[in-house]
Amino acid sequence: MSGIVAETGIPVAGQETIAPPRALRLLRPLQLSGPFVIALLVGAVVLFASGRDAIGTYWLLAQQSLGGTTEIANTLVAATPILLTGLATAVAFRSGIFNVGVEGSLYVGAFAAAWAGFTLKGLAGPLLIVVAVLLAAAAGALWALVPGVLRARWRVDEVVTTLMLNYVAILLTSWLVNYYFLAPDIANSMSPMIAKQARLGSLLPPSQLSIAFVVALLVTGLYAYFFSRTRIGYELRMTGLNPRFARAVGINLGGAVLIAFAISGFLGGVAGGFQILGVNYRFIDHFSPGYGFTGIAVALLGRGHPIGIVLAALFFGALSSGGAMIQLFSDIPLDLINILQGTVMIFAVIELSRLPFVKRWLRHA
Amino acid sequence: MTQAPRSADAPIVGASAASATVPRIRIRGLTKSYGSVMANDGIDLDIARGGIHAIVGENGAGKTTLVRAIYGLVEPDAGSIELDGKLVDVATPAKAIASRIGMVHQRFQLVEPLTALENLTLGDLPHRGMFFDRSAALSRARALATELGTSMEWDRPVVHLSVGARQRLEIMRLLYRKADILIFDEPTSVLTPQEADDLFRVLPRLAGQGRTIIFITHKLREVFALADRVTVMRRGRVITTVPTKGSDPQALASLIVGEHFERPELEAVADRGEAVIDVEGLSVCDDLGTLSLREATFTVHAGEIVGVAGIEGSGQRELVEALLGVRQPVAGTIRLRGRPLQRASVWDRRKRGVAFISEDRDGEGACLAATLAENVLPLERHDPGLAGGGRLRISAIAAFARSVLTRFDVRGAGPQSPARALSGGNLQRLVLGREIHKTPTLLLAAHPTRGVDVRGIAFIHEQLAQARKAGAATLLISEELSELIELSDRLLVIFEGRLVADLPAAEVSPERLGLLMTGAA
Repeated sequence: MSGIVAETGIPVAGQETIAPPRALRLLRPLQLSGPFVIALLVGAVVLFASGRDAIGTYWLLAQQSLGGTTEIANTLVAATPILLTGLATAVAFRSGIFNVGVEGSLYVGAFAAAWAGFTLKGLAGPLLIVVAVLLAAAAGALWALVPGVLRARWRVDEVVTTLMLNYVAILLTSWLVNYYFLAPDIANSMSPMIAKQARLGSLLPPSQLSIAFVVALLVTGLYAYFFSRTRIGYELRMTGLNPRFARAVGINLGGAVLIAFAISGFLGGVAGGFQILGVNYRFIDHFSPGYGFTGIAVALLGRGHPIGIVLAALFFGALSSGGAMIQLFSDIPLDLINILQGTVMIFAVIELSRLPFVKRWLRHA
Repeated sequence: MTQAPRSADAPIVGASAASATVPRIRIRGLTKSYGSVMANDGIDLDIARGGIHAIVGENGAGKTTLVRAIYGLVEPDAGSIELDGKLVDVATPAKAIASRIGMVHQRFQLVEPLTALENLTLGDLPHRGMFFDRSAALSRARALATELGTSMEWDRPVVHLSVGARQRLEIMRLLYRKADILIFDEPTSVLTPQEADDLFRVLPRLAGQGRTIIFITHKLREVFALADRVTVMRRGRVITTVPTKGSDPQALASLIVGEHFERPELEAVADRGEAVIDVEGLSVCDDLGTLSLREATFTVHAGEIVGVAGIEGSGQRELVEALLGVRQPVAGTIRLRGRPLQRASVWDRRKRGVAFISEDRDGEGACLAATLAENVLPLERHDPGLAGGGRLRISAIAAFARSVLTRFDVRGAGPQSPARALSGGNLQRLVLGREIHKTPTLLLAAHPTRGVDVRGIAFIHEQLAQARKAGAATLLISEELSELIELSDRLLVIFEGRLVADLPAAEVSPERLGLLMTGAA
């Protein structure tokens, strides 16, 4: 990630603090780990206040998410969709677009993959998987292009459109599955199972760790390459950092908006598709616990940086897989996990370098 | 006051020698470094009460750092600041305001959607019970305007006020908060000549009321017109402080630069070449939909600099934006070398050799958060050697950037540093390098020397002259009449959106130009 790329990450308003670069480099790991540490402290206070043993709970949480091969594998499975939605969101953010509609792309992508899985049963395994993922990606990209065109052509604010289109996507897929593609033998709102050959095999049974996680890591590499080494990535980045500058040097802003939306939706669709092929094996009404929204947190927490995004996705993955497990072994409510997630988010967006005591420290460093 | 020695090299320390009173501000040993750069290096300075004190120096001489330290925006590494002989700790602007220090920034600190009156009273609203006491606010506001000898449309949202009015509002806001040390950071850089004249009437009035004025400037003319005393800074140090009365502008200029330099003489008018750009009946609207440029018709030839003179906001910006392609004209035709242009995209025009120096360097001319290399690259981003097949060749791009930075003498940072690290003058050299390292067909230069120091101005003028010699057609927008007259072959005068004159620059006097610009001739 060296080269000509300034490690700017997601543009944050008013970054005019001047500090010696060496001290800033020292600050960086602190900036990245600070939110987690503070969140754990806040969580400890909550636990203590409700009369529980904080250290014991955290120990259990750590054990259940990282304590063994299967636990780690489960964490990676949980991290896969939010790594992809995190990258999807980060592509848009770095291009100056606040796309909060990855959840919608995820739903239509998931539905498209499921449809391919239970309809095109005649195709051979690898081919069917590729077709299903590509259909999911195409559906996600097309879905994202709706607010993309509205923004590029008529300057419609994308925050409103993408947020609202999430509900449209969730309810549209719900309608499709309940009225047209309901599995005949089941009471819940689910589609039929996808063909056996369309399911991604486990790399580490009994977990559901599949090739999807590996692909997500590869996509992270492509994301880094795209923004640092390609012309279009450069153009998107300049558009995100300073649209007036980009326009004056002849970058087509409307085109940049469309490309960013298309890539963002593409990745959101892939996230949904993999969740069907690797975990659920069918489309389930309202299946996502907010993967797209957690992706926003992942992108912000990772500051748009590929390694930061991977770490943030792993953290949230560990929280959700460990959190699901500790409910089985203790009376710790799942709400605590949500409190931890929320606290991490709040502290993630704090600019550490602006806090007075950090400022002083920076001066002396 | 003592008479300044002719060779103003020996610093006269403090006004205290002349007046027995304690100086209003006494600075001792003020030091501030940014990394390895000493922005302020042991500054000693006394500023007397009730005077106008100018601070001059090149870009990066440390002037802004010094006044920001006085105002509490910069915390010094070492040194002390005394007000009326008492040591104070102005660690934050809030403390500075409490010590009755106020600052008018280059970028105004006003809330644009609020009215002038609301901006004035913000933070200290006159009230009756829990209600805003509008009439009390208005009478205090009017009293301030009278005190300043000026007027203000108090119910107008700031966004609709002229730049000069906004600046007056800023000043009144400081007075409203009882400031009696007023700091101005390059107050005239954003003003039209007329607005600057207004400011020049206001400042002595404030000083006459016993307030202390400190202002930063590049322009010696302003120093001699306004200031009682002037401090010259160079490379973070105070070189000298002298009374302006009896000082020699030429000697002061050489102190600022530190060595002898000369403005380049432009070569005599070459044979003008073919018509590069033909504009006919061009009308353009501004953002609010009002017609800002009306039926402009003119031609610029190869090897010719055509200056556009006019009061700021007379349609110059809309003209440039229409030529660059970022604003759609409502009527008229533009031809570049005979081919119609009005439907072409910005990139189409760029490919055909349209270069552009933006009047808004930080906001449009450069991308501050990106690296220098990324700021030099954009016009070459389709060059097969730099980005063949859509893949950026990192080392080739770095080498290309280095060559441009070297040729245009951009100092202070390498290709991988963020553009934010450059001073204004160096950033402008970078912009110039990006735009004209290959001779452009048409160069749109909007205020190319705005906020640039003397040496930088000379360099930019030289580069514009070279581009002209190499055959570029240049449209030069500037508020510096002397710059327009010196550089241009022809001058277009714009008044209220109309081109009212097209004259050979050699035959124009600044006085006649001033009359044309204001519609008086």
